[in-house]
Amino acid sequence: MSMDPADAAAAHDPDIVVTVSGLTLTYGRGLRALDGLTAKISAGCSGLLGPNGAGKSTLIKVLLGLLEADAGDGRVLDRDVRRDRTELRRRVGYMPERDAHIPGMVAVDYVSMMAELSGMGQVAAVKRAHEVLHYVNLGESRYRPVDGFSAGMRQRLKLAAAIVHDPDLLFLDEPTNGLDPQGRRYMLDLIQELSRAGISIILSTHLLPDVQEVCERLVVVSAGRVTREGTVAELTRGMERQYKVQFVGDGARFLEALEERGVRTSYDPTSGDLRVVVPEGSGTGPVLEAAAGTGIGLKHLTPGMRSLEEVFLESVKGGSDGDS
Amino acid sequence: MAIHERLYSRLAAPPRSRSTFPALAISRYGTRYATRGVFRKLVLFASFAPAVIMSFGLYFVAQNEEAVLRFVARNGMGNYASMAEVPADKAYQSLSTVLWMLLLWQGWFATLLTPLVGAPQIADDMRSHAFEVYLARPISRWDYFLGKLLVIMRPLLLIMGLPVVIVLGMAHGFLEGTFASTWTLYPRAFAAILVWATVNSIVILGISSMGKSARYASVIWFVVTVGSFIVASILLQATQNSMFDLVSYNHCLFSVVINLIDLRPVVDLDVPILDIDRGPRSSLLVLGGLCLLSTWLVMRRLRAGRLP
Repeated sequence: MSMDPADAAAAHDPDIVVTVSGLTLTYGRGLRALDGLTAKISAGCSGLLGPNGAGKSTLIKVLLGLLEADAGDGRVLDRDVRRDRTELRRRVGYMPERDAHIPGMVAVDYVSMMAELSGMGQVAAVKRAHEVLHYVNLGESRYRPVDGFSAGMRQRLKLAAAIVHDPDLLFLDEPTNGLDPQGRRYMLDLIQELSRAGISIILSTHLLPDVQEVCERLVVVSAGRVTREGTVAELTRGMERQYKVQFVGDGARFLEALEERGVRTSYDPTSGDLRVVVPEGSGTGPVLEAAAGTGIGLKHLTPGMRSLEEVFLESVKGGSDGDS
Repeated sequence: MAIHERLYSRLAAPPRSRSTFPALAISRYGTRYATRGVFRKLVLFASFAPAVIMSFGLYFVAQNEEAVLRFVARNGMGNYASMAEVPADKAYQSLSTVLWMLLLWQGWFATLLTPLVGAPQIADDMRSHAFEVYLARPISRWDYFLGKLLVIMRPLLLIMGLPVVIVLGMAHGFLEGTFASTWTLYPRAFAAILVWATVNSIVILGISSMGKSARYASVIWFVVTVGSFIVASILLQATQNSMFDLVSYNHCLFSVVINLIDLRPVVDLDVPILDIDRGPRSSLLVLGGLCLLSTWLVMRRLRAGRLP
């Protein structure tokens, strides 16, 4: 199981934080969680998007060395996920999806213990634990047992434990799960700020708005495979010939004139948006001509953007189709 | 909730590649929580009662030298005019008997405290998914195992070690001038306590790793210790064959401890005195096997979690 030269080159690229190639993992009862998954994830904030059961959490666990893949290779921060587990775990932070606190333990003990286990000295660990608990707004509750924490507080506590040793890369598994809108907003703000502070983040979620809000890049996983990857802007960019039009005037005549010029149209009466697809190589000419010919006033004429939801549904459908 | 009240600050220097002694960190934090709860505290404090009572007993007996000498004579150790005349080997006999009587008591307290502290150690980590956060840190599975082992051993060493030191200290004070011939009892007592606490801790860790329920683990523990003790006692009574003491976990421990402290009882202790002449080898084999099995159970559980 050796990497091809391109992957090996990518592995040494400082901008690439994760490289996986052909990862395959089958759970005990024949459930294939990862199916030859190959991807490169750059530094910065990246979203790992996929429906429930797509293999996102499994991928993170393989990258952390918590699970061992049946086949394939993986490198995180230029460390092999099989051979360099200890060194790798020192440099990454992990916020698991499920509550993972130690029953009865108070927040500051929990976080400082995690700091010590990550290599910090006893005194430095306690100091740092206080610091990060204040940072995630749990300063007032740091001497309370975690068992009594609300869902939002528990999520923030897990984040505090994940960042206490100042990792270079942070794996966040469904960090906004079970949070109310205010808690979600707060968590997303924290993630954005950590990203700005220079920590690379891999945010695993099935919530599109979260990804759209904080991530620069996106890897869509479905049925254990990567079905789409790229920057959010790239993925949501529409086809070259698609435009969104807003206008004032007689809509029926305008639509007729557009169709006469070979422009395909779809009109949403609720929003008043008209989506048009112009003939190849014609640019916006036919639209402007039709407007001028029918006395229509154009308010907006902008390149059409696909929503992330459309991209996601297309990608997931692609993954499912591939399965069948 | 104003997020920007505090900004994230990066560490000036990265942490070491791994903690110097991760096991100590696990045990330190674990111990802080291991003896919480009314019942656990009650057992912990109650375990000092035999030592206190025995110390008072020793004190009052020592006030009446004549009574002590009558006691010595009645138990076949000879007739002496004063305590100063009691030979050194008799002093060792007396002290080791006192130690054994106390250890028996403390052993039962240890049997009770071991599951209270030890049963939740791995079972609770699995149930609460805390396993995942340990596993994501740069520690090895031996660090985790050793850390958890120390969490259980600390209170066990306390309830067995401290009373023993107190009683031996007092008894030594009453038998003036005998230190030269009895000092070996102190390291022997320490070794016995260490073996007892270590074996208990390893076995309960193995049991704790079998499932996610601390209660289930406690039940298994009592089956292994008290259950096997009852079965062995019945078999010993019925057959008079001392080999059956190997069926009992506690009998095996008693056998090892008795040999370690070189017990030569001066009175009929009315406790299961084992076939001392046989030596501790067979009991050590049984206990060693149990410890190996328990360690394997824990490691198997940790391997499934992929600690390095």
